[in-house]
Amino acid sequence: MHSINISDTLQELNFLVEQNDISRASRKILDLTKEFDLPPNIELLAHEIRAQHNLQNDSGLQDKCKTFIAYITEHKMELETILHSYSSETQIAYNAVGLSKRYYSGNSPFYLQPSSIQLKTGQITGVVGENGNGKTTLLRIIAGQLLSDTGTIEYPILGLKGGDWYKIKNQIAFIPQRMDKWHGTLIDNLRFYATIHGIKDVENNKQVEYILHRLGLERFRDLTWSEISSGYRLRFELAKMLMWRPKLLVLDEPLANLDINAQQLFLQDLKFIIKSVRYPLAVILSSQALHEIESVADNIVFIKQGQTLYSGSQKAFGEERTCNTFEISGNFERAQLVDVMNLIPQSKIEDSGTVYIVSVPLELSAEEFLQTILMNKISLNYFRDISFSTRKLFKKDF
Amino acid sequence: MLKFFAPKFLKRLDDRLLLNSPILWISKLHYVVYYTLIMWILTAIIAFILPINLSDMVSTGIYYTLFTIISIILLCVWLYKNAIFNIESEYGNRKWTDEYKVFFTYFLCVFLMFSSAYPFSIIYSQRIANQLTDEQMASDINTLNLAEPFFVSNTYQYFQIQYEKRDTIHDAETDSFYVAETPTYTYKHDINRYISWNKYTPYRLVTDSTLIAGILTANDQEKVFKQLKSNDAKALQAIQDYYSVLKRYEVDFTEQAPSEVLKRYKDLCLEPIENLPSDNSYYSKSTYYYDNYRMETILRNVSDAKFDGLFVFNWEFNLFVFYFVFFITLIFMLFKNVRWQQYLVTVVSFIVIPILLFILTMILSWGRGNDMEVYFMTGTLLIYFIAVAFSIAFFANPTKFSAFKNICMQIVYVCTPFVFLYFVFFLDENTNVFHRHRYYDYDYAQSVAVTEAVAVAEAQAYNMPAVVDTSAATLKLIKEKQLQEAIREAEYQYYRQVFQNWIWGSIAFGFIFHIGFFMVFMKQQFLKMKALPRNR
Repeated sequence: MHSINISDTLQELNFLVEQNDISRASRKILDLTKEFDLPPNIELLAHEIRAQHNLQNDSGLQDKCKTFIAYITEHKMELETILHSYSSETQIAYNAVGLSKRYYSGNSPFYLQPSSIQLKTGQITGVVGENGNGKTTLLRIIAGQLLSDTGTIEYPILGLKGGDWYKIKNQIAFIPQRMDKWHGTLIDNLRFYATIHGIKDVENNKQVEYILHRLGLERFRDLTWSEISSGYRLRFELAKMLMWRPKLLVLDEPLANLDINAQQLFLQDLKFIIKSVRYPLAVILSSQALHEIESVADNIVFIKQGQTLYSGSQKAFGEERTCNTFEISGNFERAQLVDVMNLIPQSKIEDSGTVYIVSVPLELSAEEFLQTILMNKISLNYFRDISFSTRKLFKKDF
Repeated sequence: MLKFFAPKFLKRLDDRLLLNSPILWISKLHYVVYYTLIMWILTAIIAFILPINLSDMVSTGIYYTLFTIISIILLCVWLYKNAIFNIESEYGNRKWTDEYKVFFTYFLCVFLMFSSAYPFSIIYSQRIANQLTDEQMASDINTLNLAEPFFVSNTYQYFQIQYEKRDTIHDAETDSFYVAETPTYTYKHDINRYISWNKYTPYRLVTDSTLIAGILTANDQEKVFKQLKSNDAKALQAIQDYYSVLKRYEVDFTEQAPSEVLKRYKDLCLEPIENLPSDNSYYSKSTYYYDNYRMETILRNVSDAKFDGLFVFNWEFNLFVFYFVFFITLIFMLFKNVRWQQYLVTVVSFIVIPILLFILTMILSWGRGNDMEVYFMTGTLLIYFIAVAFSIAFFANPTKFSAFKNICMQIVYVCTPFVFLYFVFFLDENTNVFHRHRYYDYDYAQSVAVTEAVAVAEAQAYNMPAVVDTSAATLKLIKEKQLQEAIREAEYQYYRQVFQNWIWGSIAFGFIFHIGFFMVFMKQQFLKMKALPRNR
């Protein structure tokens, strides 16, 4: 099924331009140029919009965006035809059954218990869990960095047989948590990575310019590793990998060094990028930023002490729950909360230190729970329904 | 840094290579060529402006050393720059033919970096050669050689001449143990026969007097000298000319009146030694000094520059350069094919294994002398074959990364170009396939007998008393031995040639095999192993 629909895209673009959300609009516009190989003047226009926005000067950009939208509207039929020429099927990028790994971390043994996982193009899979529970181990196995003790692994989208790992890794992008230092200027590195993956000459230049503008890196094009911040180093790594259009993108804790805005921007970019029909891509990433991950992930894998507690659709999580779970905090004492919860049969409270996690019977909805709390004069300043979130798997008594 | 000093066209070329040919871009061949050209120009300028001191060529050695140090620094910078970017570490696209591109590019880069001294050598050598015209050189050499016999300046030389005259086997055997009898001091007349007529003639011109027109051969000089010594005026003029040449070359010497030099020559050479005054002061007065070594050095340097040809065109030198450049290229290519941890272990292995093997062979061959070499060579080959076996084990089943097998593969990669040569030496040392070609396999006593026979023949030619048995039976025996020796010599020459052919064949085969096939094959294996998932 196509991730991009021209009519919807136009509608979204119009809305973004009307709302003067040039940041998102300019990125969407730029992505469209890559998706359809638009004429040079339109491509140039898209680059200009993005470049100007990156310079934090949005004056006149609404008009330019409208010009672009007008072109797309005018050529809608042609673009639909192009879109239909691409494969519309979701493909399986990675399929593993019964993966496990046993090793010693220092003197303490660790065992990643057998787990199965499937990654599809056009989807983001989030791997969540506490520190030291096996997230990185799982990602390294998927990226071909680490050998699993058991199980079978396949990369159906690569169509390779015989375990030729060089060719497999030629099409897998892995960004580890600790990124290696690189040498030379940012642009030289980007060009190099594109060239060695077969993107040469004029196409190389176009691709590099696209990715620089797309990820807001053009200000740093002539800077070196030591001259840019860790957040932009991550952007560079992402740019480096997306440059050559891999089939599978594996990211280990990419959000760790990013501020909240940067995290959201990064995830938003990922969400945009995986929508490409022309260059299908599957993404798996691990993170501690649970809510951010859940907001973009199609699938979730939750690992606790080496055991996969959940692996499946993010939307499906919680469908078979036995209780509703909420996260709350505010200006009240624990005793006050306990008094209120005593009014609700079969309820539980867990104090995580900064928030309370309360479980109530399935019959009690979030609205009813909130009413109960407020009626008892408990002053809340934070509330989140985590009934459908893997957050509740972090509970101590789980 | 490289880019900072580079002209714009080079930067444009760099960008172009980056977008189109990553192998060439990584190698920085364009920068190497550019900076090599600059180095050539600089060294050429130095060669043009450097003052020439013909008697002291040490100063040029300093420049060679300087250029070599610069080359090594450039090589280090190049290696570092080159190691930064690695296509295979990023699992980039590659074709099997890329390895040839890498090899020839790296080879060329390393060679160019070490070629900075070439223009210096060529220009400086030509400048030395131009210091003297052929005519001037021939004239000076003749003048010096002709007057030299008049300077019989000390008794040591005199006695030495007498001694050598009796030492009839001197040419064949320099050990005085073989002198048949002690000198008699009887044959002291005409000692000039034993004075070298070629004292100032550089070796190259002694062996080929046609290189310079007008240079006198030893025979010619002897004839001219006979005329000189019979005519005092001519002799005095020759001595005067001799002084002039020395002065022109600024050689330190004690100038004595030509008449005095001539008188002493006559006293020493025409009178038997017994008639000479016993007064030591006579000899001390005759002590004459000049720096003849300096004079000989000057002429030799000019001759070398004119006729010896440049070392850069010498095949032995170029073979050495080839080996050196090839080896640097080989180990650097290996470095890029593997992870540095295993590479480091391999480097250490190449140091430690021979030491351990040496100790082991010492223990095994304790008290058995020559066996040690055999054990060492056998052990080395054994280790190589063990490494080959483990490498094959990986080739057959490349599913699991193994640091040990990786190190074995590296050992095989580095050793294979040279192992064929080593195997030929091993066979020569331990088997008879090359028919014992060595000198020490010959009958030493027989060689002495032949030498004595030659001595007898020489003695007879000069109408001198023989110092060895010259009876008919002995001579017959000697002739038979000479014949046997000639046959053995012919055999030796033949098998030596066969052995030489095997050596060249194994060297050539090693290089061709490695460059043509093995390096590409091994590259595939290294990449397979590098890409395999690890256990930890």
